[in-house]
Amino acid sequence: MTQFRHQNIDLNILYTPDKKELYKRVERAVNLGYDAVAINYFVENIIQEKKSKKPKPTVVNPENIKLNKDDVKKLQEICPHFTQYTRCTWILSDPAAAHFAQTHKEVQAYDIQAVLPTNEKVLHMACNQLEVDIISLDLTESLGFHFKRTSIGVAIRRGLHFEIIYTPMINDHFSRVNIICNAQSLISICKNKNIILSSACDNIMLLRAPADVSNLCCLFDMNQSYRKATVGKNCLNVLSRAETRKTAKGVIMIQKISDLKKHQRHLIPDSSSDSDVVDLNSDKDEESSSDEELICKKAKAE
Amino acid sequence: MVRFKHRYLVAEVNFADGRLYDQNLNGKMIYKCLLEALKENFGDYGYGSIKTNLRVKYVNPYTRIAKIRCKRDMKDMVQAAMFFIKKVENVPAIFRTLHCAGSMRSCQKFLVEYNQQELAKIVRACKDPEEKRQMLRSINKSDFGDDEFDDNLDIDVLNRLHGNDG
Repeated sequence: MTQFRHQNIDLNILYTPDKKELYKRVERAVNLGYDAVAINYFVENIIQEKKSKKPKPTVVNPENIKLNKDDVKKLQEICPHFTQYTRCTWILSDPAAAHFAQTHKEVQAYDIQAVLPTNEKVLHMACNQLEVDIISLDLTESLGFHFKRTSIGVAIRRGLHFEIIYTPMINDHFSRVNIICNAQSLISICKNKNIILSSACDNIMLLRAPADVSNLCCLFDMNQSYRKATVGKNCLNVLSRAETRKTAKGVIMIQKISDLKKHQRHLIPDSSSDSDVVDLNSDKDEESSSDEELICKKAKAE
Repeated sequence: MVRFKHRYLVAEVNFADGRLYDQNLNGKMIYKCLLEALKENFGDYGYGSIKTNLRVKYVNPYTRIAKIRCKRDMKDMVQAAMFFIKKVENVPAIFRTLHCAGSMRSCQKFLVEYNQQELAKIVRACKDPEEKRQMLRSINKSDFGDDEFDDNLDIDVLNRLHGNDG
């Protein structure tokens, strides 16, 4: 399992088909001091009806929304540890649609899974059952319901994180009032834990530096000792939880030897000489079954 | 005697057009837009409690860095007001907090380190080799005060000098 050593993370940078614009956003974030970003792709109307002849909802392959290798190299000159992740956010208004999202192959290929519930029912289900990492809430309007301590407590015990998006606060007066009001009630129920702050920016001038963002929690009545974790440690927890979804119950993981990185080569017991590994790489087609190696590890209980 | 406690915020002004310096930048501009932001976000109470205490102590237009002094209890409020600033004198710009310290002296210590790192970054980003050579030469001159320029002084040496990357 990879060890994450990022300090400041922005888990929500909106995806645009325009690669130049996307690069601008990520570059701005890196210049401000973030060392990892997640590029966010929204999936709407995920429900699939068998009888209707409407075309299936298309989901972009996660490899296509990432930045090019050249762009990443340029960014790594500014910040050596820079990495990018992909994130898929399902907009759910119907509990029945959730099952489809959970079995959709291309949706599951994304690194991080998030859900944006639009009503109380879906929020309750997301807290209790859904296999997601982030519950993102639209706090810009008054919610129309109160957060329930029981269901949110379950979500925290399962390791889900709640996301507060800060960019609408900067421009709009009413959404500022609503976000402060809703976030205060959410944070008081969460007891300062499992909260992440992210940007969801569509304009680079709305991005803010991590120190400023974590300081924003003083408006949300958050305890001072928990503020820094909203852009740091909690986001790392999201990443490590997202990685355990690819494993079997967080204990066993199957990986191809050819996918192993250089510093992980020592995990293979038989490859005393490097030449064996090179051979495997060259004739993949002959021995595809022996290419796979079980690597067992105990997941750290968080 | 109990001392009156202050906090000093070190902030960098980032312009929308990405320019690296602005000669017109001065303390008055920053003070004005800070007070406006405080008034807008914290109302009369925030404005009144900070007005007498807020000072812009230092502005460097070439590095776009400003030091802002405020009452210790009000530091969170000032920083939160800085979050909402969109314009400095009708020019789209944002503030980025770099450091927060209890005295002017520790701010200065931080700034020396920070500026050295930034200098190394600028040299590394420079693409024209002749320009780079000239930059390294002038840095060498100002650092050690000698005119002799060692041709072997490349960027790695510069990094080690400034404690960047270990």
